[in-house]
Amino acid sequence: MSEEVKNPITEKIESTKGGHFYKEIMKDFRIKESLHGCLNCGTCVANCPAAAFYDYSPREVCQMMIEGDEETIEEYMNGKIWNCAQCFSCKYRCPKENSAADIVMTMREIAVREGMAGEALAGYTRIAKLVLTRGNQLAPDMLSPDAFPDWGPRMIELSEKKMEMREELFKGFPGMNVVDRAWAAEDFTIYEMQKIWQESGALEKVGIVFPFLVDIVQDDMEDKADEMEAKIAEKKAKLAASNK
Amino acid sequence: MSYEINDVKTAINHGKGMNYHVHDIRAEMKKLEEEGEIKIAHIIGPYKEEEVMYGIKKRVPLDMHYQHKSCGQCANLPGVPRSNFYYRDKLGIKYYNDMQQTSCTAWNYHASGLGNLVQLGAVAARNWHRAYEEGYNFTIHCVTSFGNYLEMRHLLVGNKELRDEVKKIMAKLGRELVIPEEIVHDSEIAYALRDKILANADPKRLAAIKGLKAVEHYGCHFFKQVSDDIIGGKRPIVVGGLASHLGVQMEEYSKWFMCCGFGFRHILVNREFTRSAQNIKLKAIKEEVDPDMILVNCTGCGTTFDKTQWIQKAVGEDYHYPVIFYSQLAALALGAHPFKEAGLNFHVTPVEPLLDKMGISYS
Ligand code: SF4
Ligand code: SF4
Repeated sequence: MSEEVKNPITEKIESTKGGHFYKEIMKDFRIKESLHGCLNCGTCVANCPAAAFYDYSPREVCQMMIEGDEETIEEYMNGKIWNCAQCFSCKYRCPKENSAADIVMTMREIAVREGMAGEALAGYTRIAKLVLTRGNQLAPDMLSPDAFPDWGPRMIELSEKKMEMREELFKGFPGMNVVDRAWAAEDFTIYEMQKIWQESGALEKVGIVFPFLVDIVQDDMEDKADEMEAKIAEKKAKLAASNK
Repeated sequence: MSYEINDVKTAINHGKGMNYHVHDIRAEMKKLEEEGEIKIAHIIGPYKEEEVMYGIKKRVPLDMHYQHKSCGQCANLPGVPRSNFYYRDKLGIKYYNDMQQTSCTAWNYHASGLGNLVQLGAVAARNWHRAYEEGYNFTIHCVTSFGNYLEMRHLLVGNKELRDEVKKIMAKLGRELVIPEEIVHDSEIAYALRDKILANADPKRLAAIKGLKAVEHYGCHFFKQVSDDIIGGKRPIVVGGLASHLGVQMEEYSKWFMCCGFGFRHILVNREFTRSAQNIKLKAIKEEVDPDMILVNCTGCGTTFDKTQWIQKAVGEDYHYPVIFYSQLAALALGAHPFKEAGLNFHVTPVEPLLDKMGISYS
């Protein structure tokens, strides 16, 4: 037989290295800083809180990328990536300075882009909405006792008294005593934030998971556009003058 | 040729005489500044040098502090930003609480994958520019923001493509990319100010603090995400360093390194993970130390430690460790009212027994 003898291991790598997700992940410039070969030593696993409780392993994350193992990569894309706590303990401890944390982050971005994150982000609408309409990520109002029953009875008490308590605490600090956002960021500031999300392509990505949110943001921006763009034009002129 | 053990240790700690991985981003920034590629927001006013990895000096600005607030703290543990303002008022440090600041959006990013690096970089650059245009030094309350801004600085300095994208967006906002000379967390500032805090402290409060037993926990994004630009090197020292300077007896515990279980998304949607991770940490703390309090510097960890002790009753554990931020401790030392000025009444794990022990009235 003239057929070449093939190494079953390299054959596997070659035939899978071209996999769709593998290629997408490798496009991210962070990967070259995140993979430097792997000793299979398991140091990362020993320090990984997600590995302690889930069927999840930062060693496997690095290995699957080094081997181009599309099957395992798919397993991670389909759910396991959401187990990672993004604590970077793996990166800190790895003798080869690999970062499963950064690889997973890249994969989460791809999962959103490819419409695979719907389930993982199901409980996430309120945060995304707050970021895009208030410029903050958290508000006292979101910490309602019914959403956090395991935080105990004191949480109920706090939630009932939060307005007066905050008023007392922030006497003399304008903008801090609010409950629908973390602080009273100005309208212009929120507009700038929305513009950043739009210009960077991030808003479009939000639309894949939460299409209604994009409508809200676009309507909001349109309503304010004339006034806000005039302000930006002023800033541009000032900047140009100061750089002369 | 023989070496003294201590010399070797020093060489390892500080990389002296070794070229291995000694990397100072400040040198790269200076080069880019000279080439006109970036602007740097240089430190305004006095500063103190503190050592980071390899003996590199980080310059901590001591005045004119732009206060990059934490959304998690303002919403959830508002005593922390209030204490940050309080210790500055007491020490005569000028600061700027900006209503044109946005969140860094890194909590959202790490939890959800919504957003991208250009967006994160532009949000960072916009907040940096706010401090620059107001004439203040950029300082950060939140550990998530701190880790994110260290990383954004690293990526923006190291990657021209990303830099150009962010610059384009900044131009559309009438702003520029101006990178702060130093990315400094508020706990690093409080540590750098430890002598001044001690000198201005209320003697009665110091007597109450003296001998309290504490353990410390640092946010993962404080020292693991980018780990070469933190005061003290790879194992952080700022919280315990400040506390022991004020008389607290700091104790070690075996699980100091472990993540608190916050997990960015887990605290919202997978709290069984958060609670389990917490139980491991709390158990070690209880068995090995049984302290008067747990000292923290991170929004997410402070929240997790404070909110997740009560529920451990479900697995037969009884934990009751007040969770105190470095700046709340500093504020108490400087004479703050524990509720009205340090906001300790916003904590879910009761702080009253600790305050009783210290003889500080709170009603
Ligand atoms: S710690 Fe690093 S080298 Fe060791 S198994 Fe994990 S990724 Fe591989
Ligand atoms: S970042 Fe993720 S993979 Fe790395 S140690 Fe933490 S939980 Fe594990």
